[in-house]
Amino acid sequence: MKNINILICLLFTVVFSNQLFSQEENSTLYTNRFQLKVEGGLNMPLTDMNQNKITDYFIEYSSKSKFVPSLSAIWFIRKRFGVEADLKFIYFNDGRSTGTNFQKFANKEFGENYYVKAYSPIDNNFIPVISLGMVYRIETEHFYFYPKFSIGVTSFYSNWGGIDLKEKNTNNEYKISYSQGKIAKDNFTLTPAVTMGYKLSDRFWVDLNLKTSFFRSNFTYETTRTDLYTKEVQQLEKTPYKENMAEVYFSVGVTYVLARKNY
Amino acid sequence: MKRKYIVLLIILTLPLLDVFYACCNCDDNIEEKFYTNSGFSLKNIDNSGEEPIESASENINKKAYGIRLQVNRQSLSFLKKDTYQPLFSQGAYAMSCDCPPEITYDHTDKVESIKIITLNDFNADKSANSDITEYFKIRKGYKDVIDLVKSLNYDFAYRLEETEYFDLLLMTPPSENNVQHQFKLIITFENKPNVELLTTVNLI
Repeated sequence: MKNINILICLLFTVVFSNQLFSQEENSTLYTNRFQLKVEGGLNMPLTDMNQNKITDYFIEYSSKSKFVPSLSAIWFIRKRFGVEADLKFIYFNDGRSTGTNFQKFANKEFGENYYVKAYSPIDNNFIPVISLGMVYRIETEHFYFYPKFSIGVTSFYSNWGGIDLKEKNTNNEYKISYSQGKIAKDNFTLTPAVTMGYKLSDRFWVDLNLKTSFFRSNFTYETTRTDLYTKEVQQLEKTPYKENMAEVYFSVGVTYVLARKNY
Repeated sequence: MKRKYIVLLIILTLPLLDVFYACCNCDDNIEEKFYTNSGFSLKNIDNSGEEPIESASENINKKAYGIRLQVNRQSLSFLKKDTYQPLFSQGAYAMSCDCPPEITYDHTDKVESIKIITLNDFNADKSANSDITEYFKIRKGYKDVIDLVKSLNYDFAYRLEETEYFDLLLMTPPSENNVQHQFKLIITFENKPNVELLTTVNLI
């Protein structure tokens, strides 16, 4: 019986010796203190802010899936917990086509009785989205799994727009204006995410990331028509954009471990 | 002793003030020219389309009718002006300042008023020889015709616009259709005889 006990103790020592000494220099288990990551992947909006109205053309927020790069840094303050700063490079590159479509839409809407000139400062745009959050760490010698939760700001522009109307066969001119106050819209955003990856070496790791973002748009376009001769202003319509927006960002990242520490 | 310091301070401050003043040391070759409104002409315009066009047609849609006043300007002469030269410093310190334009064209004949008279019965309120200036508006912004006086008395900077035209749109059409109308535009000046221009059109 005594021999059996000794044998079990020896076996236990042999089997788990690797983990018992894993805090040494060569181990990557919970030793990563500060890391930088470059990511790239598909950003897919799950909901559509557009309402099939003319005011859709003024909003520089893309409802299409796009390849989006991002950078992040994680600093582990405890063995299990870290803080993360993330920078996602959102862009809107439909400025020119949107401007053309706005003119076409205005022609279709008013072109029968008026000569139409549509204009809006809508343009291509590039907006870095910063988010800050907490990271929980689960690691093995070769794999890691990080559930995360961040808060940040999703920004976009909701421009003003205008249509000059010259009535056919008369001297009358009108102006249709679309406005909603402040152009820049900053929306508080919640971002739960998970990262799972493989440790290629002590310093270089590769991972897959799944991030979801939620925010609520909250603005209303007001449409007015001004008779430029009589100066009479008529309110035509209010178009609220109050939608719960959701996005999924599926990306592949490469992590570089800058600093290590035995926790 | 204290007085000495004050005098010294003033002496040291003077060049500093001069540097500030030098910031507005503008070009000393300023030409002040003058111009005269050398000629006026009046044409009918048809504003049925996207932009008004001069029309030689006898008939014009009464809801899209207007008159175009063309002004020709002629430069007359100039005189030279000198500006301040800093005492202690040179203009090299100048960064930016609101310098006057190097060439200006000031008006010589001052327009006082513009009136449009109908020579026919226009509507129930306006019989022949009535002033119907209020029925016409300047095309861009629908301003009153009297605002045209400012444009005719305008002092130009850098370049004289030798030919300019102003479109006056008829915003209150006559009550009857297919009637021939004659409009007389009268420009009165402070220091020279009035200019009278006439146009005829059949408003349909």
